[in-house]
Amino acid sequence: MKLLWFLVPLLVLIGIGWFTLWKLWSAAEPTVQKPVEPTPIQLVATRELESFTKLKRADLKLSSGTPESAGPSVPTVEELEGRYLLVKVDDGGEVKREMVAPREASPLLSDAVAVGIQPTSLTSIGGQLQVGDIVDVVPSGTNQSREPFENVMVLKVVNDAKAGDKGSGIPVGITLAIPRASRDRFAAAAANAGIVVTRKILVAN
Amino acid sequence: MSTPEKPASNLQKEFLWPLIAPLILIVTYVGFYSRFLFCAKDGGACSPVSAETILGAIKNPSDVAIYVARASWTFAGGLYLLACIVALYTAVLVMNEVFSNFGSKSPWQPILIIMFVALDVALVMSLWASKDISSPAQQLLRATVGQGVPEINKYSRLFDAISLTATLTLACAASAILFQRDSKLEKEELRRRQTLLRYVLYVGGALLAIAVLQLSTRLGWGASYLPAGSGITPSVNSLVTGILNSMGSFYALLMAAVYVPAALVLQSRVKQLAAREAPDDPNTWLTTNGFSLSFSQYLPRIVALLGPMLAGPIGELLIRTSKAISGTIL
Repeated sequence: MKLLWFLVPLLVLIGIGWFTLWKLWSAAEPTVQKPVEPTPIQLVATRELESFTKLKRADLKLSSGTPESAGPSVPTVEELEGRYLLVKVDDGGEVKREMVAPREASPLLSDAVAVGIQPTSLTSIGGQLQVGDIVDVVPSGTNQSREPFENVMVLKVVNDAKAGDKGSGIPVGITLAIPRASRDRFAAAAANAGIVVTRKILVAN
Repeated sequence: MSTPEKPASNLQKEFLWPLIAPLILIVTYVGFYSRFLFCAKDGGACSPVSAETILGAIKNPSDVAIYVARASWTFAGGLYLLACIVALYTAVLVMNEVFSNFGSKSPWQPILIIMFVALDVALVMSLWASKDISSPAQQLLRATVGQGVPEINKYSRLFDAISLTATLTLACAASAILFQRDSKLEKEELRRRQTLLRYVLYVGGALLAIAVLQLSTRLGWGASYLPAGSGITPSVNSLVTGILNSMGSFYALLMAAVYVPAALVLQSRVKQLAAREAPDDPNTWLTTNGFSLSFSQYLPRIVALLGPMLAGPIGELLIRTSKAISGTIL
């Protein structure tokens, strides 16, 4: 009888303990999911695009979302349509504004030839020349016509990667798009005495 | 000058103080905790850093830092389990010693009942605390360690339940030390009980200090996933420090609630005995019989009481040192 007074409470306690332990262990543990970072909306190429491709509507699309949801930093298809791409873009690669020539350059490129010039401080505007710039090229020789070649587009500027910040800033190669009709006159001017490249200074009033 | 002798009925009630005092403390803590910190109902809004935010901040976690933190936790976890076993063993030994002296034929029966009551109370407490799924500590572990070990919070609750079982059993042992049927105890019996109470204090203090150390390494393991440069890392570190400080203070108070009432009751009995034995000069009797404590004898008791509070900063120092060592060696 005395043993019963001990065993019954003990068994009850063991039962309570077992039940509580089971409840404790079987309780569902909440899971946590890594928050998905929103992918930025980009304007991308629908196919591989070579340099100087004239962009068509079908060449471009938004990576996700709608034009309304894209921020002002993302160019629209309408904005870039009909303009020339300055660099090669892979299929699905992002197309940014600075990778496309200005709209006013389109007629200049439609019947142009590419020509390389000697990179100097005078032809690179002191190292300021950039791809996509619309410049004027002025022949600097004494015994030739001084008639400038106006609205010439800069196709490529190759900088000295090895020199980095320690270099003079003068590129190692410059390619311009010259109208086909002016090709021979430009070749003569460049061969005779040299040329000076000028660019209009944009000032904010 | 003689101290008036207390009636036997009063002495019988005093033995419950080492049990009542920690229970009052636990109930107060639980009351404040559920009122101000419990955040299961509001979907985690009361936690300043959510699990999703922590998980989102984890980018290229340092494998070495995680390995070192996990190794520290494993070591502290093993030590913690060992301390729980030692505390339970000590409590059982103390109770067996006391109950055997009462002439009890089967001291194991009340001891087993006490242990299972303590275990049930601890498990119910853990079950209650498990509802607080949005607490900062649980969210930190869920977002970090929990990605590889989903049961980490369950293991923590089990560890805490074992630790609370051991602490409550020690509190019962302290109560048993004070328990007496007759109002007069002999000098040697009182000395023996004071020694037993000292064992309870040292083992309990060590257990709770190791508990804080283990908590420190557990949260440190979670925090090790966060990159040093992340904006969220200082917030998480400050939360971890806050949790460690509050738990360290609570454990120190818990140990004081177990030990101080028991020590005071025993001291009062010693003074009664001194008043009986040497009514003219009880103080000299106390000194000659070794019942007066010097500062050097008090010091280990104070360290044992403050141990849990000091363990938090020591744990953090251990983690920082191990990180520095791993950074040097690996």
